[in-house]
Amino acid sequence: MAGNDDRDEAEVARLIAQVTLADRKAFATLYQRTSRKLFGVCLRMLQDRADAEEALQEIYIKVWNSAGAYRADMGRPMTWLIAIARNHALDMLRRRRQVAVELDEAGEIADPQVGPEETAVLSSEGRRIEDCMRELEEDRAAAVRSAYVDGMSYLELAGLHGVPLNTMRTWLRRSLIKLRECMDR
Amino acid sequence: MTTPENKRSDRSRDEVLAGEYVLGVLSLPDRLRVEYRLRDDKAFQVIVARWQENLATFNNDYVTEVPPSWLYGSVETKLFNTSVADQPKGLVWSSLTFWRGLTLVSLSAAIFFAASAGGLFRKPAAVPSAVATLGSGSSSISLVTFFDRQTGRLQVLPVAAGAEKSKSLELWLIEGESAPVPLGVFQDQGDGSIVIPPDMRGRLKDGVTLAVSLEPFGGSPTGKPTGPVVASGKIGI
Repeated sequence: MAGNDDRDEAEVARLIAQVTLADRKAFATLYQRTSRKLFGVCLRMLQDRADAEEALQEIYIKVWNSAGAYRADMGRPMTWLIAIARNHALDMLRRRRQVAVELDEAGEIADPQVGPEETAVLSSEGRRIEDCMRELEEDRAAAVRSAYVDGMSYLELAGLHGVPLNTMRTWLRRSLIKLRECMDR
Repeated sequence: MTTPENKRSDRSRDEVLAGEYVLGVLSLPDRLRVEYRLRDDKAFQVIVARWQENLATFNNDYVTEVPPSWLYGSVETKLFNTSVADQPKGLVWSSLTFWRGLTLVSLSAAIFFAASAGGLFRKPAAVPSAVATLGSGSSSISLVTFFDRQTGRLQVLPVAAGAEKSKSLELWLIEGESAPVPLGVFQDQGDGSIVIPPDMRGRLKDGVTLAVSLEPFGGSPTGKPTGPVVASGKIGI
C-alpha cells in the first residue's frame, strides 16, 4: 500500500537523520527495519551466505559513517540504502571475479536525443520502468534485469545469453538509451 | 572546442555510463573511475541519482531474509567497540523525550558541501568555503548554508520556510557524543547569517555535526536545544 510505504520511507529518513547525530539507538532501529532487505540484496548478489554476512556488517558501518551524506532531494532513503548495499556487493563481486572489461568509447551508439537540462531534474513521476521494460525485446530486458539484480558483468551476461561480449555491450547500452527515452517521454 | 553537438553527445555518453554504473556491469577499474568522477561532478551525480531512482523498481526482486542474530552485535563492536547498553544516559540528543518532540518535520536531514555534494562520496581536502543544504523530508523547511572559512561567517538562507512565527532557529555544533554547543541564533530579519565566534571556528571541521533547532524566540533559554531539530547533518569538508 502506497500510504504505508510512504510512512515507512519517512520513518527510515528520520532514523538516518538521527544517525547523523551519532544516535546509536536510532541506528539499532534503522538496522532492525532495513537489515532484512539489505541482507536479501547481499545474498542474491553474492550467492554465498558467509560473504553476505561479512558484506552486511561492512554495509552498516558505511551507513553509520555516511548517514550525513544522504540527501532527500536525490532520492528515497530505502533506494539510497540499497544502493550502498549493491555498490558494496558489486565491489566484492568484481574483486572476486576480476573481470576486466575496459571502458571504451560509446561511439557506435546512436544519439539518444536527451532532452534539455531541465529533464535532468530528479522526478519521482515519469513512466514506471516496468512499462518501459516491456518495450524492450525480451532477452534484452532479461539481461538488463539480471545485470541489476544479480550484479552480472558484461562477460557473464554474454556467456549466459550465448552472444559475443561486444554484442552484449551493445544490447545493454542501446537498452539503456531506449529506457531513458521512454521514461523521459 | 565545445559545440552544442559535442555537448549533446557527451551527455548521451554520460547517460549510458551512469546507467551502466547503476546497473553494475562495469569492471572494478571503471567503477572506481566513475566514483572518482562522482565526487565533484554535480551534473553527473544527478544523472546517476536519476538512474538509481528509475531502476529502484528492480529492488522488489530482492527477497528479504533475516540476518543471523549475532550480526548486529558484531557491527556495534566494530563501530563502537562496545554495546548499546554502554551508551551514556541523559544525553539530550539520544533521549527519547527529546526525539518525541520532533513533530515539526520528518527530519530527513541532509547536508553536503559544495565540492563534495555527493551521496556516498568523499571529496579532496583544502576547499576554503563550503555550501551545505540542510533539508527535511517534509520540505517544510530547507536551509542553504555557506561557510566562509576566512571570515568565519556561516550564512544560512531558509528556503520554503514555513516555521511558526515567534520562534527562532538556533544553530548547534555536536562533536561526537558531546552535548550540543550553541553557535548562534538566526536573527528574524537578518540575512540568514551567523558569525561563528572566533574560538569556535576551528571546531567546524570534518566529521562534526551541525544541527538547527526550533527554539522560543531569541533562542534556547537553557543553553541546550529545547525544540525540535529541523535539520542536521555532518560536515564533510
